[in-house]
Amino acid sequence: MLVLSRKVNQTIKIGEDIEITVVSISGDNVRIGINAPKSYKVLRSEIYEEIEKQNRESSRSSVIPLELKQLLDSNENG
Amino acid sequence: MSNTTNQSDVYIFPQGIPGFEEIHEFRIGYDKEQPLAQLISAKDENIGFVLMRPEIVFNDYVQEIKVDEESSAILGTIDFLDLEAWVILTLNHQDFTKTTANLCAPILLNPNQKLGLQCILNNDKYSAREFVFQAQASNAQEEGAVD
Repeated sequence: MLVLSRKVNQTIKIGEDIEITVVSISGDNVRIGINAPKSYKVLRSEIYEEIEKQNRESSRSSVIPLELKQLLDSNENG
Repeated sequence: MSNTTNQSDVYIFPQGIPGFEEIHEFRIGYDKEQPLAQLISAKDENIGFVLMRPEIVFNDYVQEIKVDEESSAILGTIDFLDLEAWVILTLNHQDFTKTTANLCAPILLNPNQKLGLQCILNNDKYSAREFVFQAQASNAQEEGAVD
């Protein structure tokens, strides 16, 4: 892994198309700005895992509860 | 207990969906007028999800979806108008008003080619657990506001 030190507002260029900027630093928290073409998927690594987890939780039932339909209908028309 | 559906088409999901990457065939069961639908593994009926059309509750959500190129290629179209966007619901069986929707990763379908995938959005604004009925309540409040 290439490790570089940056200060706030400094940037890193990857190839022709990607630019990463340190937007701000607050304690442990680094805000990173990413400029990349739409062909690149940019994700926080834990997001994929979170979606996996959410899907597993949601997969327990595909039966559409009548009560849910009714709640949605009533709120739409209300 | 089963739901009757008008349509039950098989869609190919070349990448499956996160957590179920090995499932490449899903049945979509929906009634044209309902905002809800079912996404069920074609090989195992026990693996299934409840989907909702997000626009009935989350007003600007669909317009803000930006499909990345890789997903467009898998879906066989670069035209967003060819696609249907659905979100997976996590039901709370104790209290349905606590049902949440995954706005972080909508299910995108291309009905013309029967292709689908779950698209993780590059968008911090939405979470994987957005309360459905709170959003409806705040919409109702906005509409009721007097200028």
